[in-house]
Amino acid sequence: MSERAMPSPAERSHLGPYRIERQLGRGAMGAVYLGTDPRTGKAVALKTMALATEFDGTELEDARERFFREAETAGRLRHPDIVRILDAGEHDGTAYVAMEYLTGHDLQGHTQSTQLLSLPAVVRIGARVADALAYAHSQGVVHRDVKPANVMVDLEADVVKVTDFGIACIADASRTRTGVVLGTPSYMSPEQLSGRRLDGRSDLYSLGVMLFQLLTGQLPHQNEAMARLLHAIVNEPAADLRSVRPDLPDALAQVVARLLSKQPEARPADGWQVANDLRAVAALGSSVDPSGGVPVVTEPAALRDLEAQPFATTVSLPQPDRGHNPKL
Amino acid sequence: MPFEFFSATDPGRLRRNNEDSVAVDFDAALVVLADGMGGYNAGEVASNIATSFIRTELGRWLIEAAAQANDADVRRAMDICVDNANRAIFNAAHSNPQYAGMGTTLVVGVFREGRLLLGHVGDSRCYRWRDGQLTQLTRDHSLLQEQIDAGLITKEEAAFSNNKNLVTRAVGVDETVPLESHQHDLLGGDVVLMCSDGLSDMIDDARISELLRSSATLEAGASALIDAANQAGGKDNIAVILARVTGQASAGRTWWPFRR
Repeated sequence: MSERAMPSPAERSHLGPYRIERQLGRGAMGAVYLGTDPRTGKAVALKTMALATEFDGTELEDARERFFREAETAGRLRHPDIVRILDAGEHDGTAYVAMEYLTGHDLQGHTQSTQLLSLPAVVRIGARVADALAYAHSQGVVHRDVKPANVMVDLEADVVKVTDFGIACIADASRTRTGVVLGTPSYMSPEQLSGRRLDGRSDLYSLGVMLFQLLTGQLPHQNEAMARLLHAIVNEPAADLRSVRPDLPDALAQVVARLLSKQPEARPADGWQVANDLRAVAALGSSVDPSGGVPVVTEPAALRDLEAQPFATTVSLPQPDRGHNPKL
Repeated sequence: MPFEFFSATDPGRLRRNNEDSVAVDFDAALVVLADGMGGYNAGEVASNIATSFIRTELGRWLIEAAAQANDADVRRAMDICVDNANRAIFNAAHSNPQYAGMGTTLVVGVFREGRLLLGHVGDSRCYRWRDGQLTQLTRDHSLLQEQIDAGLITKEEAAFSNNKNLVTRAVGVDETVPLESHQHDLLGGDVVLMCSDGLSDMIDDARISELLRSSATLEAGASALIDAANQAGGKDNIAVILARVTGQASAGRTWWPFRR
């Protein structure tokens, strides 16, 4: 009953003008490939969606239209800290989006309490993400899925990139069937969970959850039963940052608490304000801490690395820091 | 207490391939239904691994052991078979980039004298139809259902949600998967319906009940359900398993398949 009329990209050498090098993995909608733009020689990531094997008839036309409209919307976003969408097209029934290819890794790895980034790193990354969100919101685009897995960093290259902007909407186009397994709704804002209309401040809430987790290794709301977790996100106050990490500056705890307000009106009005508040926290840190806010290290090699990377990873301190356990 | 079974799938109106799968082992009184996810044919692969694997493994065990096994034994066997199927899909997903992330929902039922041992993962459903009343036996493992349970949205609002089709658990996407299983009583004349959301998202419970009532045989019932779902749009693959408890009805209750 199923026709396999068209070859999968795995069996092809090109998608549009892009040469396929190898498969990188799979996204929510289909395979992701590493490609090369032969015109520039630059590497691109090609996210695909097998429209013609998923849809038929008028539904196919609708899906195609939605796909390209969303790709166009996402493509309008030009910001150094947002992954650039370069192109979108269709080749033999496979729709693709060509995006800048990123090195580095996402922040998911830094959400465990044993893998946390330093305080200055988190604050600086947070400010850049807030700026990127503010820009997107000013262009009328709400991300809707801000979370550590959607922020890529390359610490050595001082790169921070928010990913999957608008792609979340493109994924919606393909979600007329069971297709996505939800990992956790913990980054969703109260209004998202309540089915209300969203604006940019919903993304700011999610940013607040992300910051909380990057700073503590925990989520502001936790419950094993999902329905109770959802209820708590909507109705119960978030944990205070200082209850988990008393060493953190009050100013930072206040920024995060504001972001985690249930009411969008109680949050900062836009991402620029958040970025300013976070940079103020960073400045405060460097004026109070004689080491300039950068963790002190003993090994010279690590010190050299620190000078090269503004986002220093967690390093051993010569004495146990208050609020931290000595590294084993 | 003998049982009668019928199963069917249909790609629906809009999709070119069919990622739903069903399997019935008549001798073991075992039924399995799965709705797969993943691009190209990955969903098809996942759902077919689930149904064929569980039908074979659990079916074989039931034929050999059911006479001596109590319900706890059967439920444990069900857990083990689902766990093995999960690992098979998970491993396949990791060994082939084209299958990465594939998974499937699952409904598995073992029919025994006077009762149904029912397990499920995801948002494919099982209903029991008795005396003209349709009761949903499974609770969807979906974000939407959690939102409803948490009192954040109503069932009516759920129809318009952006979060549709976000399941909270699926077979094959993690190393382990929790199977939710329960026992449900069965009486003569009961009809049990298992279906993927390709059915339940297209027609409502009232319509399902009406179609069951007006069908003379299980096969006719399955056709009627699939046709109705397609007429309502057929936006997704449709899978249906119908089981009927033949045998004595108690006094005062109507026999099925008598048409009203």
